[in-house]
Amino acid sequence: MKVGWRIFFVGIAGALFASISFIPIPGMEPGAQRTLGVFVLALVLWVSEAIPLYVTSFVIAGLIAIFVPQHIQGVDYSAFLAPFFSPVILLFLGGFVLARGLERYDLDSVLASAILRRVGKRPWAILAGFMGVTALLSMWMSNTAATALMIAVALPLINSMEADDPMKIGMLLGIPFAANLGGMATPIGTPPNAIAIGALRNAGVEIGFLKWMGLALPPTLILLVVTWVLILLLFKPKTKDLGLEIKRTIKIDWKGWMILGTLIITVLGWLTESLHKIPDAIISMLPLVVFFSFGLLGRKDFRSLGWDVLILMGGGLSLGKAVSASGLDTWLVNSLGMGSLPPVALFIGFVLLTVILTNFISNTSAAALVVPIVIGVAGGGNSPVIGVALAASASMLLPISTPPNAIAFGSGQLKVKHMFRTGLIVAVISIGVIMLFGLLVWPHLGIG
Amino acid sequence: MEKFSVRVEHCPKCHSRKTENLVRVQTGKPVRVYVRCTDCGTFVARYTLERYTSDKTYESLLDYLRKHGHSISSRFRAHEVEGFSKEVEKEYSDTASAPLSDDKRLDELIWEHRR
Repeated sequence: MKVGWRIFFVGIAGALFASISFIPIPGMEPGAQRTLGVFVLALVLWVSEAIPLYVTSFVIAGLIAIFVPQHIQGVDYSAFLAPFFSPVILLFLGGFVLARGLERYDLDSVLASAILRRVGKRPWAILAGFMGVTALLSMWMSNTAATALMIAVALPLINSMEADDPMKIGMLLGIPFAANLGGMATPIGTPPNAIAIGALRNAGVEIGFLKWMGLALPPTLILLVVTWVLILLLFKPKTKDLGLEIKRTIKIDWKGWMILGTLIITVLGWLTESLHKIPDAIISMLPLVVFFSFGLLGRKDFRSLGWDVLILMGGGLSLGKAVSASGLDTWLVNSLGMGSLPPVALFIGFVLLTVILTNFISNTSAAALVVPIVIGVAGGGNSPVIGVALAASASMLLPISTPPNAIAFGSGQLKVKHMFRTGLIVAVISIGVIMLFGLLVWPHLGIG
Repeated sequence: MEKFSVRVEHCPKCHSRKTENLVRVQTGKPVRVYVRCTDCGTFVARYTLERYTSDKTYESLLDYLRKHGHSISSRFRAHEVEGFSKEVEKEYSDTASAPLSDDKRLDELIWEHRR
């Protein structure tokens, strides 16, 4: 973006913040008004990306800390800075460290090779293998990294296919879509999940690792299978057998085994939180302590962890806290008449809004903007919050929707129409599946 | 275009410009390139790679994204991925066609980037 446009958007954001915050709005408390000003500023800056996303998070926290606490009884400014090191941020940090360990010792690649070696030569099986492995990896590491790895593995195969074989396009779509969907399944799969968990935690609702997987894994699996079938139907393979050759030899040294052992213990710890009662955020420290104590990772690795993502999430959580503490959520419900809408309509509305937003702005920003509103409007219902988090991953339509799509598009072998047509169908099915689970299944699992 | 300087490595002992790169790849460690004089075998310099781009630029980009995927903003968009190859080609072309510099200050600049 050119400097002129950056200045323009920053100016617009500042002007909107000032006018909304300080020109009296009848019936609105000053704290809620200031928070609304910050919310609109965040909306403009996160959508335009006039300044880096994580810098906007600092601006949000700073403005809230300066202008909001004095209007809320018993709340100190530090309450709005605390989300930056909240348990869910620590959980995510643990996930980043695990992913860094896997990548550093090539274990992600070894795992992918070990599975793909067994899928055979049939195109449908190979596509299933690539999509399955991509989704599995993206549950534990970033969707972008999983896509980059799997496209790199798939590229020799794709290049060996005949030029007009539709399966080339199918493979290049299947991998990023599987990465987007796989991220839904675990709390550390993608930042929107963590934002929802953090916001629910602020509202007094605890959703642990296992519970999230219990809620999100079934719709993820359904969507993966549906997407796989859809790609096979739309891009029918020309050849019956593909020559998938995985030459990589599987060799793991003691450091690799130590990384894998720590990964298994950490994941088991996360999944059995209800038995040992150690919070998942504390368990996340295990890979941090082990990897860096034993020299498996170094200071350079530590510095290169996704701190910008964590700060971005912290800003979203801080904004969410301000929305609820200032009473902005109640004001929105009352003044926009959302309180009188049936819960089903609200659920559908927010999921739709999120899917539209997430296809044009960052998934994390979309969740950070919508989740605080949903928390207030849902009136104690938690399904819409989880629905919004999952919907934030349904960014399938365009190369600009999410980095995995952009990476696949960068191969130069895809056209926008391929992605849009397939992605639109997947996005619509995602909305349907999320609503189906949110309205019919999750209430039976104790999530209303 | 931003100003830049180009120089060719030469052997500190025999001043030969004929050098070869020994690329050291070790799991869990950054890739290191040792430059050796092909005439007398003297050690010339060592570079620690932060990012490697081969002639297969898309594959190099995938490798980079695999390592740094989490830090990618949503502005890392399709046109940037597409433009990556062209950017590398253009920078190489500019570098290859630039006049070589004997400016001693380059040593200082490189020294400032030491690890």
